[in-house]
Amino acid sequence: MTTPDASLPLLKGTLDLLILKTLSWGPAHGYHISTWLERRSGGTLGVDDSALYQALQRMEGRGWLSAEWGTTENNRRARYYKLTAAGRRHLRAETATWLRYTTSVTTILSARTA
Amino acid sequence: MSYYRRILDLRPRGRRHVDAEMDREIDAHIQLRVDDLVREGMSPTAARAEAERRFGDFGEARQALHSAARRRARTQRQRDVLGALAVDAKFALRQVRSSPGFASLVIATLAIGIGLTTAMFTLVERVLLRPLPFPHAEQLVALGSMDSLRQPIVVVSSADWQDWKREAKSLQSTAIYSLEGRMGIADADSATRVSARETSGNFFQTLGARFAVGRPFTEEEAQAQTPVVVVSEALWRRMLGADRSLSKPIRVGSRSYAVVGVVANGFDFPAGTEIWFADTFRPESGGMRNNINWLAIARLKAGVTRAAAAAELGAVARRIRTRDPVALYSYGVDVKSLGTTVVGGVARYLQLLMASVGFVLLIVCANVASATLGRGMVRAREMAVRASLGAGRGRLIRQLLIEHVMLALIGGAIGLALAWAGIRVLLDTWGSEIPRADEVRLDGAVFAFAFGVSLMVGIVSGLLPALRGSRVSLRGLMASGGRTMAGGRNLPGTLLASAEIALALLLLTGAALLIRSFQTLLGRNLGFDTHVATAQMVVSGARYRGDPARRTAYWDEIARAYRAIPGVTAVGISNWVPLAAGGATFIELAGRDGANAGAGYRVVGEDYFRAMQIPLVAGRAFGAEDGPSTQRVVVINRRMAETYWRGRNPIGQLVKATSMESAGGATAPWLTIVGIVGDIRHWGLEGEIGPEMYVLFRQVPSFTTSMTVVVRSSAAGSRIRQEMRIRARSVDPLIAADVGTLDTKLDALLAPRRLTMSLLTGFALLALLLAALGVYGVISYAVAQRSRELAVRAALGAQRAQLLMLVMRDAARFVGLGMAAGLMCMAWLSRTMSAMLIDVSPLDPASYAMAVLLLALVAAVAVLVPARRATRLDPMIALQAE
Repeated sequence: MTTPDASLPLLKGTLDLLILKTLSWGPAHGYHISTWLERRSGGTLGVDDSALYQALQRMEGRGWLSAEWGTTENNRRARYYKLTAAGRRHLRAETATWLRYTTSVTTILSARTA
Repeated sequence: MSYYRRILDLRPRGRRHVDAEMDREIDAHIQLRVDDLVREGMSPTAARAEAERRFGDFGEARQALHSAARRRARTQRQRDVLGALAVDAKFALRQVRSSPGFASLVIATLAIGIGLTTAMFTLVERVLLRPLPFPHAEQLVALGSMDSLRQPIVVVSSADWQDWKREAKSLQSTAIYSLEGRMGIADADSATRVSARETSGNFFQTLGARFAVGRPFTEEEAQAQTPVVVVSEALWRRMLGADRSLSKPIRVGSRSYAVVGVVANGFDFPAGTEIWFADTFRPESGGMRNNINWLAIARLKAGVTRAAAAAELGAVARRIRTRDPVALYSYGVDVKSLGTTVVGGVARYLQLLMASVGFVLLIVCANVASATLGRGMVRAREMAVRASLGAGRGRLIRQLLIEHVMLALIGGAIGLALAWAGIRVLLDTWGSEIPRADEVRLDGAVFAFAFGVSLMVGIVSGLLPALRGSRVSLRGLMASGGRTMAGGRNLPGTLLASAEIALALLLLTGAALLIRSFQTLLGRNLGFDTHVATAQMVVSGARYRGDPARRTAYWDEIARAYRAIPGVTAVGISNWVPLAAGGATFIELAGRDGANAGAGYRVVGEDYFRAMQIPLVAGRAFGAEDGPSTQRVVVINRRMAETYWRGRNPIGQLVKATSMESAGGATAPWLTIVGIVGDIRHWGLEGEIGPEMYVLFRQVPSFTTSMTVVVRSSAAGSRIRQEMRIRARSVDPLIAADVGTLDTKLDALLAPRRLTMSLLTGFALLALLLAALGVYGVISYAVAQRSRELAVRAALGAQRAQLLMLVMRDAARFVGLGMAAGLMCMAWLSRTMSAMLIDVSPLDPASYAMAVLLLALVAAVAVLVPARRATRLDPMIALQAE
């Protein structure tokens, strides 16, 4: 397990996108999202827990997520987040933008110098 | 928390609640991580430390998350409310579209009510609430004199004012200015008349006037009698070509005045003035101290109340009397708010009209509420279904309220357009009588008012139907066999109709009282005939200065020129013709102690009584035997004879005009009474008759600077007036004549009252119509509700008349209730109108009877029409219908 200090810093706005992506598979609580992000990125993306919850609150405020209290498989109470229709739309749009953006940047960066 | 409960929960969810939820979420997170770490083999203590470490600075993170959560909760709440409103509004619009007839009737009613109220508010806001366009207008006051009876007098003597100014500490600054005056301004070789005032040096500084160009004149300029003037922006554009260098002087007679400043548009004080002259006011003593010819204003120091200023000035007034025992008007100083003074008599008319439109608006609300109540019964089925599908009562109430607010907002928008049109009409007919009328416009305040009133009207008119309409149950509806709701007795509906009747009666009685007062006024005798043309002129210029004989000659020449106009039958002159201003004097009666005796003082020519058709009652009028150096003579009116010589013959008695004729320290001479003339109402139909004395202009040449020539003729007025202008110019081209008629003056004096009466009558008739519609609706509804019962009765043999009586009896009960309530309210409210009533008691039985009769008649029709329907019911059809 890597420590957050050794991880890559997150680009601005990326965290929102990753959270939306995580939730696109189904409702999840904050801790779940946090561990899922760590695991999927192989530990390279470190997200401060505080920053994660900040993002969740912000996105809930924007109407992309809705939240409800529920029970975990180990019988603990947790607040579960779910994508709203608006959140799903936002994810689709942002993903497209992100892919276009990274493709262009990658093309330029991998071009051979003339 | 459910979507709707969150909205209906009026108290915003507390910060503490949001914080606590965030804390629980953080704790859950920590717990889950601790669980995982322990499973991986960490000790619980170490696991907790690690979990908290992953949060960064734990305390700080918690703080930051609290504020994030609060932000989230706030935006969520806002979005929820807006979203719910949008849903409801959409639904309401659908409702409106689904019954356009009902909706348009309601919208039209609301538009009229809101439109009227907005129009009145626009006037009231500008005229009554913000009467003075000056900075810190609340500090501005008008100062007046007080006589020995402590009666306030609006005019002051310049000598008294000098002392106030010097000694009073509570005044930040004070200024003095002349009574209404018009002045001829010469332009190359002709002259035009404009309204002008002489003012003391700090006039503009006291008011806080804004200048478009230049500056106000200074105290020093006024003291040094520098010929300087300030002009209005309108005059500057009209006559001076808007020249910013102010190089062109203004000529009055043979003198020319440098224009030092132009006051910006919006400065209209005193109303209508276009030129302000700087005048010097020297301290005077003796009899001159009693020349009360000026108006005074002051700005109080910050924090000084009017009462405090009056107290301090009262002490100054006492000191003046000790120093100068002849001071007659120094028994105190009257301190009034300048705003109130400026608005004057129009205020009470506007207040009355504002209250009236308020009543009309209430009737409109009642009408809409009662119409919706009737419809609410029809919609009971819809409501019941919605309730059964899970809509709570609050949800239904909100829905119905929003429907009303939507209707009211649409009505309000139309009403605003109506208001604007109404104001234009009102200003066109009444504009000259309303102070600051030209500044009336639709601004933010008016829009806000119209919006607020619409919102309020929507809620007020919707609340009752909403409360009632939401009280439904599917069970009840099913039990009634799915028929249109059997509402039983429509108690709220009848109460609303009673209220409408009561309000309509208030307005009708008010209108009747004003109409009766107006009739009384028109029936009054003025004591003179107003079918005369008038020409006011001010004799000034080097030719006349210091030469009273020249002035007398001028007036003789004018009279001769006017008499030569074909058709002219009589020409009189006077310094104060009726229906405008007028001066008064203290008098002394020979051989009597006449403390505080006084009389109106008029300076007239020989033919004045004949021209005005004021009858000679006894003795003789002025004639050829009276000249500048013959015995001083005076003609008095009947009232003066009755007041001071009751039961005795005043002819041959002696009287002195003590205050008026003691100019320059001279003692007033004795005047011999030679004749008595009829009384006139100098101040117009609403004014009272007072003692008046007339002196001959030849014998008091110092009072003949400004006079009005009265011309009676048998020819067409406009041609005569044109001739009067032309011939005045031929006598002296530099003296312009201000030509008009007494008829128009009389009309102008009556205009505010006439308009108020017409408007109030219009409002009352509108109220009558609305109330009739209300009654009609209630009875129609009752007949429809009882159609089964009535049909059964008819089938069992009840006569038509019996059925009619059945319906009428119910109607009589609530109409009677409304009338009784209306009468009681009016008996109590009418006292507020007493200042506007002329020889009519606020409880005048005839007015009340008229109103009750008219209302009863209209109500009877409104009841009869639907009631007759009950008698024509075909029992078979009525019974099959359900």
